[in-house]
Amino acid sequence: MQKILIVEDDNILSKAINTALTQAGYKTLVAVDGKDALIKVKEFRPHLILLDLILPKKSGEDVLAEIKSNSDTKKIPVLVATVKSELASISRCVGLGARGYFIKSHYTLDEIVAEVKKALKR
Amino acid sequence: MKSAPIPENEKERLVSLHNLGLLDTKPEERFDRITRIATKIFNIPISTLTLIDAKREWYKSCQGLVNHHADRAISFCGHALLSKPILVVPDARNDDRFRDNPMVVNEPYIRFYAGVPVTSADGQRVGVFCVKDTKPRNFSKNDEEILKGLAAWAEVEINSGNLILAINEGEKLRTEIEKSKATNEAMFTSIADGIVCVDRNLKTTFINKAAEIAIGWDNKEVIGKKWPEVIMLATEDGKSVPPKERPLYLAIHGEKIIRNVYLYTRKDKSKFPAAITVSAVRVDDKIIGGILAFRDITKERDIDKMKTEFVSVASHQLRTPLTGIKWFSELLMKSRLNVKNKDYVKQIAVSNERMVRLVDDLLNVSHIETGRKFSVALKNIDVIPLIKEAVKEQAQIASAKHITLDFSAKARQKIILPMDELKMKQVFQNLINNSIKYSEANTRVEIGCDRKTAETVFYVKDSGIGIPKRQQKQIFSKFFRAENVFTMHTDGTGLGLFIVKAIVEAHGGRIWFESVENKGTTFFFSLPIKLIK
Repeated sequence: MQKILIVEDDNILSKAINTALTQAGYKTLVAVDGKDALIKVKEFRPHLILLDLILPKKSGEDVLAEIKSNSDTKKIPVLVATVKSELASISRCVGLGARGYFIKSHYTLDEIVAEVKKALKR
Repeated sequence: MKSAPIPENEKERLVSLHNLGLLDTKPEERFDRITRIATKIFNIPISTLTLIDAKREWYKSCQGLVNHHADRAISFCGHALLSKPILVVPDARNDDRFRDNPMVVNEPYIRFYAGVPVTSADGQRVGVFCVKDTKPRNFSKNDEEILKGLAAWAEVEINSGNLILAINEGEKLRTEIEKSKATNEAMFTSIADGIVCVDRNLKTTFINKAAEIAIGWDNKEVIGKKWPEVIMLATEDGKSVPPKERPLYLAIHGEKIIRNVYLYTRKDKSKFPAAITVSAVRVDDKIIGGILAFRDITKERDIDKMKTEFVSVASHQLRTPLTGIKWFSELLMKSRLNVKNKDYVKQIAVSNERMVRLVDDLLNVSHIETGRKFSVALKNIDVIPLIKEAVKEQAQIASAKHITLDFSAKARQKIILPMDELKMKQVFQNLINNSIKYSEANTRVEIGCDRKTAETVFYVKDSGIGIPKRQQKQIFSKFFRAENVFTMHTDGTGLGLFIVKAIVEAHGGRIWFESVENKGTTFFFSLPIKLIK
């Protein structure tokens, strides 16, 4: 069973996405802030990370940068799912090594699950 | 007796005569002096300065006659009027034209006549200067010369009245000009925008109060100085503007009205953004100077920034709960619901989508966002077939305009890069389509790529109309369209290049161009070559 780490501080959103991914057959774990995310990446060893950007304690971009600079974790595909839609933000995340960038309010749960599947196939 | 013929241009002649304003006025010493001198020089009883109107001859000055006018039909002067340079009648009794003239057979019994026409400033013969005697006379060449001289003097006096009129008109005009100048200055002074006037050499001739306050320089320090020496001008990103690209210079050299934003440097070296409008001052189609109006837009910029920030924060805050409603409606739809309940949930979802779009629109207006549903999903893809497809799709439009699309890839060459396939295709389509749109028939559009160590550079090159230099900075702005595209009658939203730039930058790439007006444009963009593992 493939494991997905959901990094999301809003517990309503994490509950929804958690439900959708579980129903799709993935094993999930939720991290609620940036620091929590970095700890759980090491312990949980996910196959994919779904990462929010606006997070307490450590920003999503910093989390992404650390994951991508650590040789143990840098190969884990990261999909950014956020409410931020500034071009500069997209550009920075892609530059840091994000596999995809999605604006949450534009995506249904089904579409996100589909993107997760695609990213895991490669 | 023969009456004098009427001159051909009688109508114009009469207008000139009346314009002199001398007819039926009182005698004046400046004319009487001349006729008096004539009688003394020639020792002759009669001398007149005669003006000839439609019906009569009338004497502006007269020596030796009781009546001050006579019927034109019997006028000696009427004949003289048509005789340039002089009419001399030594004895009227021996002249068929005058022998039975009432003035010859009755009082005042004229026998001798000599007259020289006098001309108004606009060249019309308006009258005659003459001498008459009751005895026949011989008139020598010398006498003729003297009479001509006196006539010339009379002519000067006749026209000097006009000169005075002209001086009066000039005085009136000067007052009018002074008045309008004062009005203009009062207007310029009371205007809240800075106004600066320069002459053809860019020397400052006027600066209003608002401009003085904005730049910190005093009127007296600035007038007579060249404006470029007063104000340092820089573009908004801080690059100083070369003298020949400064707006006033361009206006004086014939560019139409120019509007732009520049950074101005005050006397105390502080800087501020100024929105300026510049236009040339033309007199008879000749440029004699320029006018610059400017406004300090620091406050507007601050407010704009605050507004953008507010909208941005508020919208992002709104997106989170909207996403919650969206996702739970979706989950609810999949749960066991009866038809009615499903419909209710659907209504919630539809309303929610409307709200999502409203937030998008709010962010869109603030100009910093990508717009609706912008995202990237990267995959390692061979870009060659993608370009080929884009070229194929534009081929029909190109051939309709007789434009050759030229993309040559080496056989079996592969360029694999991480990219969002659909989005990157959109980039090629947009750039190729633009090149076709802004090219003339029978030209070539070349598409190519160049592999470098850290990135791959793609280019689309045309020999089209180019982008005007002044507008090159704005080319990637939302809704921007260059001035010269309107003459091509092509449609366009001004969104294409904005989107292209957004996509390229979302891939971590850069986009730039080289363009010369009427020569062509090449767009370049780079993509990082680091693959996804």
